[in-house]
Amino acid sequence: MTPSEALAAVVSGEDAAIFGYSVAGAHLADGGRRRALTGLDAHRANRDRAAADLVAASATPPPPAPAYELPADVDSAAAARALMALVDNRLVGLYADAAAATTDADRRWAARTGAECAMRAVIWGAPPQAFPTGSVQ
Amino acid sequence: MTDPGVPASVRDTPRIVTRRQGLIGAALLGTAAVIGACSSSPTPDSPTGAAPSPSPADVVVADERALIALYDETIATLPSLRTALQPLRDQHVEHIAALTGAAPDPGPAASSAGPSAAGSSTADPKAAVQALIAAERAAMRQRIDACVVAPSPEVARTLAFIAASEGSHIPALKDVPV
Repeated sequence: MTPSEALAAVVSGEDAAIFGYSVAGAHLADGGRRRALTGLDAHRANRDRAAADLVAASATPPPPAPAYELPADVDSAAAARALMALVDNRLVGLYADAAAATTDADRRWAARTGAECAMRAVIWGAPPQAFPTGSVQ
Repeated sequence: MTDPGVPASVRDTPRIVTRRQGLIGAALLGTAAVIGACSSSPTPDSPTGAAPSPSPADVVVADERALIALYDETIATLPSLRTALQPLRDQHVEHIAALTGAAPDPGPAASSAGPSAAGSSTADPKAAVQALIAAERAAMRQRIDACVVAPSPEVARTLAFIAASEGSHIPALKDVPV
């Protein structure tokens, strides 16, 4: 996998996460809503960073998908938290790929950002995993 | 680093989604295959003799063993924490297995670990959990550093996953009732 391929996958994954957080955040109140908004900001910043790296490498960042299929109806606060846990855990693998494909500062950013995703997933209620992945359990 | 406190309201989701395999954008597919590749591709650097300088993976393996010893000592001192701590402890065994290519060796039972294993355990549950949080945070940072200097993309990927796992242990430990 080339660095550009890995970063393009991160951009697409973060776009999906932005969609998921936007849907989920509407079902939370108070502290949960604030935490969702903070996570949404983080995912937007991550998407922008990966897209900027692609542009710097003379590659074109992929556009967001026209629509995203949710794995389950998001009709409650619990479902909202489960959705955010899922998207964050799935991102961990994309960032691990990006860490493998890049070097130096980009690799450090990818590893650190993947760890942040895994932390958020557990905060949203996912069980910790030895190798965090977003497979549906 | 996003690491807020975890109110109880966030923790009442017992499991992530239990429906059919769902898709959230094609870009998020395929992580299971990544894990498979990572855990089935042993890293090449596990020398049996003395090396002039330890590889990043060797340093991580030694550090993982120290973390396991700290968990074992904590569980031996505070058996009431076993239910909460044992799953986290066992994930470090899986980290070693992924780095060495060896089958996971669960090691001695926690009850057999003497109180001298890591030398920093305490009978105060709150302090003991705080010590584990500090150890996991230091481990996550060290894994990120090791990832940056990893000798191969595969080792870098494995170390990125391990950093993520150890980062995720921090909010889990903060949620341990002590």
